[in-house]
Amino acid sequence: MGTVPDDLTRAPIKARLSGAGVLHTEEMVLNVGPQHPATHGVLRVLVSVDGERIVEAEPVIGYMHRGHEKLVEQRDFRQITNLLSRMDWLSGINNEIPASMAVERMLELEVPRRAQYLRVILAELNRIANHLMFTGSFGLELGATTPVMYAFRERELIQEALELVTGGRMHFGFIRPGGLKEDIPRGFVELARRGVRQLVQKIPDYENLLMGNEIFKQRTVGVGVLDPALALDHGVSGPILRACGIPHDIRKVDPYLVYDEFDFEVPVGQQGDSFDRFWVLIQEMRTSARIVEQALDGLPAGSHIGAVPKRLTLPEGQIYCHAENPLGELGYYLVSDGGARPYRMKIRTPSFSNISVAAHMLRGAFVPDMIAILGSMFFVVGDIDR
Amino acid sequence: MGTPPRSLRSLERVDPEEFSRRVALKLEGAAGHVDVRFGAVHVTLPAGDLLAAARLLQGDPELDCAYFTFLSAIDWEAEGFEVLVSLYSLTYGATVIAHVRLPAEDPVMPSLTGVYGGANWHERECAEMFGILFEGHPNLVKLYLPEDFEGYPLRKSFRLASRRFKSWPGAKDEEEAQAGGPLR
Repeated sequence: MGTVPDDLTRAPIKARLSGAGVLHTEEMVLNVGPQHPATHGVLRVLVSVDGERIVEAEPVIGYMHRGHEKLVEQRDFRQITNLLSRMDWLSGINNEIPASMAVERMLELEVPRRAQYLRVILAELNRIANHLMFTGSFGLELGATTPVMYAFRERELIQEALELVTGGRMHFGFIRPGGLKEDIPRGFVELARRGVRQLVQKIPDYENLLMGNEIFKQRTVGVGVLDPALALDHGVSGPILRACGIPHDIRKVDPYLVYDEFDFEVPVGQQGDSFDRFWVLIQEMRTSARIVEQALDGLPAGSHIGAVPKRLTLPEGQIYCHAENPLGELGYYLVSDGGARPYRMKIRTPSFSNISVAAHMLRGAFVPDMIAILGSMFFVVGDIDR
Repeated sequence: MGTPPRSLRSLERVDPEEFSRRVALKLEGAAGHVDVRFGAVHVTLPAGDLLAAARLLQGDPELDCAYFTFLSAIDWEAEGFEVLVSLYSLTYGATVIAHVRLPAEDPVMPSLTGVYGGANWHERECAEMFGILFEGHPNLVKLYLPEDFEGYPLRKSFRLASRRFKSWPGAKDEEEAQAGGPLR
């Protein structure tokens, strides 16, 4: 019997010590994605970690690049609708609207009030469907598997309403220069109303399930704080910008369609952390539901499409037309050379600018927080890559 | 949270015409041409004046264009390139779009990354798609395309691969269908 000699126990640890008793460590590069459940598609992030802490992170994009900006140059002004619908596959209607608005403004086409109201209704229903998707998926990413079931229950009613009108559930192709493809069928008003009422009734459930949950709070409060000045510098928009305390919503600051006729408030966060981003997302569904109810109440009679020339050619010129998409500012810079197709169309998508700031937000965060940060950036890879 | 940006103050909306006069006055000699189209202020600038103008647009409290919306380009073929820089002022609710003309051969312009961090990805995209060199960019590598990709896809001279072999089956124009696809 005797004690174990000092040398034997300490040797291996001593070997790992360097300098003045400091544990020797080295940075490791961790590859996340392109296939990762938290990336909503194929986003790859190269992360350099020092232990559990992220030293440097670089999003690698382009896995879903389909060249929309080149493809639209080959199509006429009606045909591009179906391409644009596919960029952000969660909000097809919202993608289509500003493109038609650009054509209408350049041609000074008059859009009937009924069509404008219906566009608002469809856009807001689509926003709700988009936000419900992220409500569910953000829970999933943080390990809560129940909320997605609730979110999809409500989402189904909204999807049914959209399907009843457009015939599609994802790529709608329903907005035309001058108005809409068709008028709404019988039963839509009731179904849409039922959808938004059920949603408003159930929102407190999501709030209690997630935001009232201690684990959820610990994983999101104070995590991934985005500085407002940095957000502006990178052109961050949508719920992410508003979560930093900046009340910028294009529906308010540059009202399009008939948004100035409705009474709604813009939810604004304070801290700019993951929790606030999620809070803003949930509150925005309430806003959208209010707008839908008001628009359904005041839906004017009339035509769903104005007088549009059979052959659409735009005068020479350039226009920037933007709208508040569910994920942020979507803008089309349309250049016409007087022909039947766009000479050039720059597509400014919200996810592209929003995710360009991710590298700054991930720096210094812990590895598990990366999921909470990326999950609360609410992006669609098709919208980043175009 | 750092210091709250000016934009947190209430919106003091300025009419685009009024804002364009303000921009013209502040940029003085630099701005070749200022006008308002569809509610946005358009400014034509020489490439050499862009950085100074951007700093002024961003920093001057009466302009306060802190929001970087996008950067892109248009290929006018023989007439060169037109680079667009779109900025927004949350304080005054105004959009300013700067236009910079570059020659068709060796288009080079200064990088805006030192002024707006958000320009980084937009310039990388513009560089790989149009072949425009942004001098002073910290990391001007390809953003979307594979490293070994040849050519600049958004130039007009770059024909869509599928159109090289088969004309667009949806062509509605008689004249165009006979020409075997889009005329450009």
